[in-house]
Amino acid sequence: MNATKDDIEKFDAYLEGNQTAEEKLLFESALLNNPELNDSFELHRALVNGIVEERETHLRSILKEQRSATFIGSNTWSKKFTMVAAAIMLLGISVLFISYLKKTDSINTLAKNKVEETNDDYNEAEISTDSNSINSSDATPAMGSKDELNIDEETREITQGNEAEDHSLFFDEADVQPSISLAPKRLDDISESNKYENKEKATSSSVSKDDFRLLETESISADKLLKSANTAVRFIDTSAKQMDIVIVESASRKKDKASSEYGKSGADVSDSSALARQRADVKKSNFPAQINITYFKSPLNYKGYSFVNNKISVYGLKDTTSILYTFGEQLYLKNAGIIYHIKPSPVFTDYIVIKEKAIIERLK
Amino acid sequence: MWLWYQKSDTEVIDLIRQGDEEVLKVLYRQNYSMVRKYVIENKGTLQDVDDLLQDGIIALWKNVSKREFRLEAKLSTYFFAITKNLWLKQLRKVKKMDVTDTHKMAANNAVDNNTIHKIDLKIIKNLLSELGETCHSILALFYFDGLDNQSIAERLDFSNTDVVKAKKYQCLKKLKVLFYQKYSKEDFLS
Repeated sequence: MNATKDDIEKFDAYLEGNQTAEEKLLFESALLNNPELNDSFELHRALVNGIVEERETHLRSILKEQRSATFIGSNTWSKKFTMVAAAIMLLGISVLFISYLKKTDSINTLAKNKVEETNDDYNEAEISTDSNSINSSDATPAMGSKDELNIDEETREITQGNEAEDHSLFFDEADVQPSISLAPKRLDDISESNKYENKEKATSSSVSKDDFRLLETESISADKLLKSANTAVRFIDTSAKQMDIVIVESASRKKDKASSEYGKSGADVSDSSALARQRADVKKSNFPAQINITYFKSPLNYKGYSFVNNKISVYGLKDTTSILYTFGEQLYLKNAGIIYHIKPSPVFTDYIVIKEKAIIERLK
Repeated sequence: MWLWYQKSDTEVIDLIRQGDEEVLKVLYRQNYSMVRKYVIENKGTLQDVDDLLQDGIIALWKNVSKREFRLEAKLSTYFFAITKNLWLKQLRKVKKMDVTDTHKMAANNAVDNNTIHKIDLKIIKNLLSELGETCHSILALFYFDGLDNQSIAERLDFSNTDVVKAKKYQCLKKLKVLFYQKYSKEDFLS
């Protein structure tokens, strides 16, 4: 059956719900009574449903295109962003790692170089000290300075049997430390020290010494500089007897003095002191004539030192005035009455307090 | 690009009424964030966001296409109201389904299956392609977009509504003929 225009209008009105209740009842009864009309209506309804579905599918396909573009776009963007962020992070980590490796290498290289330099310096000092000692020993008996004469007089007194006054063997402390000078405190040191103080506050008391050493090695300037002083090294002849211990000024000091000693009489110099001086000069020293001691305030009550390239950095010592001795090819530092054994060490290390009576007796 | 992306409400309405389907993409982009936020905050998923956006835009398309449509607020506000209603309706439906007895559901499904008469989408696509562009447009505008004859006449440049009525009748008649040439009653009375 071919539906007429009127039939189609009724079909549409029924489907859209635009009929009155009465029209609807009449239409439904017509459908029940007329199978052909019913078939026509069912086909119409199926076609209309198909048209709507086809149209909706078409529009949804356009929206799906946009959805894909939105999601793919955002995904692509996020992927790109993630990749860029990951690349930046990787680069940053690599740079940090490389800089860390370089720093570690440079520290190791520096430490090695410093140890080598220290050894070289010792060798050079050995040669120069040797030659200077010989020269000065030649000059001193005939042309000793006033100070030298006093020393020799004191030495002579001891060699004459005054064993009880061993302390008079040494120079006055002010005399043996002529070039003490306070190093100017740099601004960056101050700022660094402030930083360090903050670190110190944040650091618990459980910080190990190893940690501290690493910290110190990397940021030596972070500590509070108390004082920096060039200190003459006193040489003690191990071959001399207790009675004959001779304290010899540093080679450089002697060299300086030697020029001013010409023209002065050496008649007052005793034979025994000359003999002792000769003995002392024969003995070689592996250490330089003067060593710079830098005193730092210890941030964590850690006591220790480093000794590199004629420089000793000390932490936690009570006094900022020390005396250095070489004795038996070893370097000793006396501070506030305590004697420490100082070994070349590019990293900060603990003090070794000398308890051997024989050494203490010798260095008294 | 930005100017193209951002369109005023009037522009969007005009484009919908001209049948410019590209404006659907603009609506999707412009309202995605808002709908996403709302759906996600209300127990929805990203898939729900997409479904709701599509349903909302199609509803908006149909409503705006109608002659009697008057925009009394911002288009985005109107669109949000549509999507919100659709979402609440869906939530209610889900909640209702949760408490419905399974036997009742099975019975309802059986009834629905018997009452829904539908032609396969592939068949209808083939038929409409054979029908021609004008017929396809008239039928789509009338049955899907819900345009009245006057609107269809204006949209498709017909002289008056009688022409539209006549054309629509001819197109339907032709469509039924095409259907019976290839298919039978059993293809839609399943």
